[in-house]
Amino acid sequence: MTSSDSTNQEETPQPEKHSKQITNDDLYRRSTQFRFWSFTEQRLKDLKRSTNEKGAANLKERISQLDPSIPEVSEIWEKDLVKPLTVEEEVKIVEYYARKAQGLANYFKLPTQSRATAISFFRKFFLVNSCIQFHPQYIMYTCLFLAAKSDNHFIGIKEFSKAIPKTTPESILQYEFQILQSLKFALLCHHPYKPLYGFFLDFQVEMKNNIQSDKLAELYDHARDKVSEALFSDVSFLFTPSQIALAAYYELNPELVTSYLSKKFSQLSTINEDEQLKPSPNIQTKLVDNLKHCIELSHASFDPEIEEVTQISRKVHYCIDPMKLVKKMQKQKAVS
Amino acid sequence: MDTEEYCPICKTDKYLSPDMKFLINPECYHKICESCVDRFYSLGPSKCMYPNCNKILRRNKFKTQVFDDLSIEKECDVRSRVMKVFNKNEEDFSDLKDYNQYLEEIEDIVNNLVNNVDIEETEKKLKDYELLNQKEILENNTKQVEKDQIQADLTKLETQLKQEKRRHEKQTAEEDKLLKKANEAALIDQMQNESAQPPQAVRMHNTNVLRKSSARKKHIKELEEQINMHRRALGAGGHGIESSVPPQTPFTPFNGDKDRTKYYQFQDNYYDPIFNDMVSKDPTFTASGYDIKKYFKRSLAEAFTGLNIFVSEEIS
Repeated sequence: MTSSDSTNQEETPQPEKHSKQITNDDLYRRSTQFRFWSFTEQRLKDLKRSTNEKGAANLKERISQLDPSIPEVSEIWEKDLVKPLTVEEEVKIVEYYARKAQGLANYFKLPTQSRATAISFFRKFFLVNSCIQFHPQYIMYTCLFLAAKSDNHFIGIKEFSKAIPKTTPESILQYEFQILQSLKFALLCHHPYKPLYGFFLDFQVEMKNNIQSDKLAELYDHARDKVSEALFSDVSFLFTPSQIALAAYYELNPELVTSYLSKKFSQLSTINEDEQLKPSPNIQTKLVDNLKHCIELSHASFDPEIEEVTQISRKVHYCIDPMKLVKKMQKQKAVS
Repeated sequence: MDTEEYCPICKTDKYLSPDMKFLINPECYHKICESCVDRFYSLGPSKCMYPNCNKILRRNKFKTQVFDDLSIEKECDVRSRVMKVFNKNEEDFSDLKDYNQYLEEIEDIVNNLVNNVDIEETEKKLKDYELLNQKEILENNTKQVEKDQIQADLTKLETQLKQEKRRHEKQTAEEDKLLKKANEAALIDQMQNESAQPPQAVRMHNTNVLRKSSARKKHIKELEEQINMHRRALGAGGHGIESSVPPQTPFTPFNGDKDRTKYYQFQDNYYDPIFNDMVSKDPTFTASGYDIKKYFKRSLAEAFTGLNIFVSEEIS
């Protein structure tokens, strides 16, 4: 046995001098937000389109199953009265209700974090489901309720539905499982607020000589507004939270962030002896380009006009239940 | 009446003759009482006495039933038969997967034999394996016998050691008692005679006791060493697979060490009038053990989480 022991020792490879280093970035790569809910721009576009197409196909099927004995139904068939929403219309109505969610969250005095989670849930849901099948208004209520629950800021369902007119606990809860399923049961959202605060703290140390504390606090407040606004754009699907946070600072004060980054990267390359971990030389410019792109995309969000939204909303109502249109047409005919 | 109560051949009742024993034969597992077995099978192999059972039974194959459930009894028999042929050990394999494969094969054979699935084929397989690996099977058997021997020795030594220890403790306690008595007596003597030194007798006794106890201790030590030797002999064979596995690093949840690079220099104080004020003034924060520094640290850590991930490149 002793002889075989010695041979075995020769065969086993020596443990590597530098075992693999797990950085915080690697941890983020393991998060569901990165694995399930991060996309390239093209992929995101494709996803929105395919979801819309799926919804449209579903609508077509539902219309074709209507009772043909009703004269109005055949009229709908002939004139193609129930038209599915376009991708743009879907984006607009989702955006509108996402902003509504924010207002409602403020009414319930939810923390910023939970509010952001609700908006995130809502947007994720309509990335895989179409407004042609689900009215965003009801989904928004359930998302808000679910976000409050998952973020440890529970509101009782009775109290919740009492505060919102024309809802019952059942009408809110009926979508809960569907939403969870659409989210792939990944409820943890990484929002840019914590990184934003982290940078605020680190600026105090690194940029002591460049900016005064009260000015920096002001900058932080404005950046926070930027981040809150960015929740309504697609950036959370395209960038990491810490990039979104830094982009918010960059938009407000590019000089500060540029000098901060050069200071940081020069520090990193001196303290790191490990070649593996040394930042590659062009990473700083790459990061800055990335931030600029992030800013650009975060401005893609807009506040849709109320008239436009009511029009789309009406369309959604008919899409979800084409029989409503039938009844309306019957009524009109009866009057005339 | 339950069949357990009487022999179906001679109808002897268990109630009337409580000494009656039932025997079974692994050929068909039919119960027959001992005296019937003697009567029918002592002259040589014969048919089973049960109606419609045409198995030929032999006297020397009869045995007492161990398990109430006959299916378990049967499985045990089959298993011991198969294990006699398939007698490799874990250390005979270089790979855990191979070993598991081997065990799987054994289970398949046992299962087939017990449940009468492809009996002929399985029997043939068993026989072929036996023929092919005759030498190995023999070797493994002798190895197993040796191992069992060592194990038996070890248990014997261990019980011996336990006994010795107990005896040693008992004797020490007794001697301590005696010594105490002797010392007391000596003290009384001393007080009476006012002589400065303890009497010779007591000293002699003390040294005697010491010598005896040290001898016993030595004996116990020897026994312990022997046990260790046996253990080593046993343990030496048991590491066939483990020793070929490279030394494992301590468990880390993400298969690697945490990156210790300091991306930021942590300060004890940060400027945030609102938040600092809130935490220091509101006793609910301090009472629950809330540490503002932890919050600072977490925020800073999150600031440097994912800064270097370029989603558009990494997600494909």
